[in-house]
Amino acid sequence: MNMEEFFYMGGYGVYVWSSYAIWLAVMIINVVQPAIKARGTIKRLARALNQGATPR
Amino acid sequence: MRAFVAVARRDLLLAVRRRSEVANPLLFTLIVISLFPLGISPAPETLRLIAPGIIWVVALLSVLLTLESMFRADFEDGSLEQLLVSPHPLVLLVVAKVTAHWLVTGLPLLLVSPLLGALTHLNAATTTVLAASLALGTPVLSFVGAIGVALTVGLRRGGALLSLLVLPLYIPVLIFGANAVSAAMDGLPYHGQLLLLGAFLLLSLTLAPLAAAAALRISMN
Amino acid sequence: MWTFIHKMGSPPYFYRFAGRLIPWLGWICAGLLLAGLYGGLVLAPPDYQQGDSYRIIFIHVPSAWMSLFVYVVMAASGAIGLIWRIKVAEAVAAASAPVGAWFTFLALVTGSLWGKPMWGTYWVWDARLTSELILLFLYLGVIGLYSAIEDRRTASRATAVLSLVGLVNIPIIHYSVQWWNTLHQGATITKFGAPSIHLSMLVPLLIMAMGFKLYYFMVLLMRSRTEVLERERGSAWVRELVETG
Repeated sequence: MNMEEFFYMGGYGVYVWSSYAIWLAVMIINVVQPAIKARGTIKRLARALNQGATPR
Repeated sequence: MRAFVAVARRDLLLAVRRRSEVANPLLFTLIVISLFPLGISPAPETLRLIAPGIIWVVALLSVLLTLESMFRADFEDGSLEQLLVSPHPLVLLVVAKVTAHWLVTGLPLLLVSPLLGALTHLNAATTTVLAASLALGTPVLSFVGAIGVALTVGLRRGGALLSLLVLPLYIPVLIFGANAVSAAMDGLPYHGQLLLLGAFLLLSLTLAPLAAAAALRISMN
Repeated sequence: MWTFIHKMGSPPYFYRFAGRLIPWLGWICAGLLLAGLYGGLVLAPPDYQQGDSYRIIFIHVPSAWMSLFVYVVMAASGAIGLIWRIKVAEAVAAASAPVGAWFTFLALVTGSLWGKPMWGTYWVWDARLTSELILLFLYLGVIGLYSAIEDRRTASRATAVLSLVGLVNIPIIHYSVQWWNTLHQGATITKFGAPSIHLSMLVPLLIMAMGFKLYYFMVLLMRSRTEVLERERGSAWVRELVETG
C-alpha cells in the first residue's frame, strides 16, 4: 500500500481516520488527565500541610 | 412472619390513607397512554402495533415514579433506622416492603390492563397475555427497584440518579414483557417469554432483597 | 505470591510499587500498540467484503473487550473492598469506572463510524451496539452514585453493591438484547466475526487487545494512586511523601 492508498483507505478514509483520531484523543486524555490530577493533588496536600492544618 | 405482615400492613395502611399515592401512578399511566393516539395516530392498526411497547414503557415509568415511596418516608421520619436495628431479619422486612409496594403499584396496573387493552384495540386473547406479562413482570420491577431506592435513599436529589440506576436493569423485563404481547398478537408462541419473565421473578425475588438489605445498611451508615 | 498480594493491600506499598510499574507498562504498551497498528493498517490486506473500512476493527473490538473486562475488574475489586474492607481495592474500583466508561464510549463511537459504511447509517439497534449502550448506562450509574455520596468509603461500598448487581445483569441484558435483535434483523447479516478470520487480521487484533489491556492497567494504576493518596491524606506516609515530593 502506498501513501495515497493509506490515507484514502479504499474510499473509507473519513470513517477509518476519524475513528482512529477519536481513539487517539481518548487514549491521550486518559493518560494526561490522571497525571495532571495527581500533580494537583500532591500540591494541594502539600499546601494544606504547610498551613499546618490536617489536610481536609 | 408476623413482622413481615406487620410491616406490609403498615405500608398498605399508609398507602390507603394517602389514596393519591395509589391513584396518581394509575392516572399517569392512563393519561400517558392517551397521549400516543394524539401524538402518533388513532388508527387501530397503528395503536395495536405499538401497544405492547408503549404499555410496558409506561408501566416501567409509573413504577419508577413510585419507587421512592418504598423507603424515603421511613428514612425521613426515622422508622427506617428502626427497621435496621430490629431483631427481625432485614431481608424479610425488605420483602415485606416490596410486597406492599407491588400491591399498591403493580397490582392496580394489572387490574387496569383490560382498559389499556381496550384503549389500544387489543383483542381479548392478547389482553390476557398482557395481563399475564404484567402479573409476572411488575413484581420484578418492584424487587429490582428496591435495590436502586436502597442505594439512593440517603441522597438529597436521588430521583434522577435512581432512574439511571434502575432503568438499565429493567430492560430485559421490558423486552420479554412487550414481546410476549406482540407475539400473542401475531399468533406466534409466547409461552417462552412468559416463562422467562417467571424466571426473572424467581431470580429477583431471591436475590434482590439481599442486595437491597445490604444497600440499606450501607446507605444508613 | 500471597505475601505479594497482601503487601499490595497496604496503601503506601501499593503507591510505591505502582509508581515503579507505570513507566514499564507505558513503554511496553506503546510498543504493542505501534506493532498492532502497523500490522493492522499497513500489513493486513483489505477485506473482500468491506474493503478497508474493516480496519476500524483493530480499535473497535479491543475497546469492546476492555469495556467488559474493566467492568468485571471493577465489580471484583468492589466486592473485595466490600467484604474485606481493603482500601486499595476500593480505590481500584473507583478508578476503573471512568476508564471503563471511556472504553465503552470508544466501542460505541468506532462501532457507529464503522456502521456508516457497513450498514449505511450511523446508528443501528443491533444487538452488540445496543448492549454496549446499556453497559455505558451501567457505568454512568456507578460513576453517578459514587460522586453523589460524600464519604468515600460509603460511596465505595454502595457502588460495589451496584456493580455486583450490574454484573449479574450483564449476561441477562446481553442475552435479552441479542434475542430481541434476532427478531428484528434485516435481510443482510454481516457477520464479520465469522469462524475463519484471516491470520493477518487476527494477529494485529490480538496485539492491539494486549496493548489495550496494558494501557488499562497503566491508567488504572495512575488513577488508583491518586485515589489512595486522597483517601489516606491524614496518614503519616502521605505527609512524608508530600513533604519530600
